[in-house]
Amino acid sequence: VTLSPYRLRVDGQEHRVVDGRLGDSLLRVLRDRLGVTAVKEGCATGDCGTCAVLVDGTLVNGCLVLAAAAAGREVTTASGLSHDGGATDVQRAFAEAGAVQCGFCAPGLVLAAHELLTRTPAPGDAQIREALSGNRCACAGFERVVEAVRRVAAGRSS
Amino acid sequence: MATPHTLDEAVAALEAHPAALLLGGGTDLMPALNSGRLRPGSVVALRAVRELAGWHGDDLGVWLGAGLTFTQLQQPSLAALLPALARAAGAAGPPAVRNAATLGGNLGTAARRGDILPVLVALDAVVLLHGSGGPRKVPAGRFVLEPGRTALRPGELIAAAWVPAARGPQEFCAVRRESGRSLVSVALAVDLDTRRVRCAVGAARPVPVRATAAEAFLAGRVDWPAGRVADAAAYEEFGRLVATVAGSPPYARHAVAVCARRLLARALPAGPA
Repeated sequence: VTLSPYRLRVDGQEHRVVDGRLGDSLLRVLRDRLGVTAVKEGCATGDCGTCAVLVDGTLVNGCLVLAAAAAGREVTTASGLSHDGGATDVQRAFAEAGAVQCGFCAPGLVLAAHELLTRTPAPGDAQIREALSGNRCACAGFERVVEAVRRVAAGRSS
Repeated sequence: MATPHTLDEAVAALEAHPAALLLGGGTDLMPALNSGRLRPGSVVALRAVRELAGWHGDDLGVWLGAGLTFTQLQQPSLAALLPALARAAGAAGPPAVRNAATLGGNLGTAARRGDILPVLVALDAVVLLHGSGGPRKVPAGRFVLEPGRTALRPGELIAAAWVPAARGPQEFCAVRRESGRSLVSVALAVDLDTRRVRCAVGAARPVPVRATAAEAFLAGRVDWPAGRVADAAAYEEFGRLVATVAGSPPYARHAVAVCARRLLARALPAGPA
């Protein structure tokens, strides 16, 4: 079923989706129609977190969002976290702590970390692990990811 | 695709498109769409329906809108009233999933291994439905007929769940498979005023079941004013009796017995106050 055109607002930019299909996920439309590659396709079942996005500030998996249902809402990817296009403190900390190996999971992890630190400025390790529990990293770099989040929290409070 | 803003608009949209798929948080529906298992002709998205949002409690009980997310079920103010439900919601997946998954969606999907319904059954909750014929109530224990099939009639949708007020501990425990889905779950609710313990077992059978023999066994073994169990041997027997409703395999029965024993010991400690 083809939909009438609808608008998606992604990282502050308005897009018009023409000839969208009803069943398409936000992940599919972002990547295949709008060329937004900061969201990755891992499992498409909500288990890996590589397609994480913020929708109106709430962390969700793009593969579990019906694209047409996101019309009129604010979608944010890891590319849209900074207003000037540069790296945020979270992104810098990931790089500096060695939390990125192949990088496939990094945008999702960065978003999950960003969302946690917005909600909980000084999280304990248990809160960090819980907040990142939906993001799989096959390179197994979790210790450095946790360390990166700790550094951001410390940096923001000093 | 329809995006109704009121319950009446949602019912009208369902009437106009009887085969439409209902979209709650998408956590169950989207994997089916992504894999091509389902190809929707039309979708009614329920997120914007005002009457499905939020919750409120009074002396009689707690009303839970079907649109509540699992994250909202975990909020401290609601978790204080319904701790077992908060616990079940909190264990149902990672944050990004719980931010999307809804109470109504979970009930409507009617998955055998869903963790919400066993808690509602133990709490003696009612599922509130709405359709063109008006509102209708179904006890939580009779809402799911078999996995994937509910008491919903064509054109009806889940509006809310209502949990009657009860003073006393509420507990939930699940033993999970590697997939994260429950092998078995046990929910337990104590009502110190009516002097009853209600216990439901989930996932072990196609639909949640109440452990009525185990509940009856406790009747003469609880010091109700103190909220304690006089003889600690009762925990073992309670667990054994709860496990009799669990079916096979034996390890699932064992897991149910252990969960039930621990939950009861937590809810009603042993010995004099």
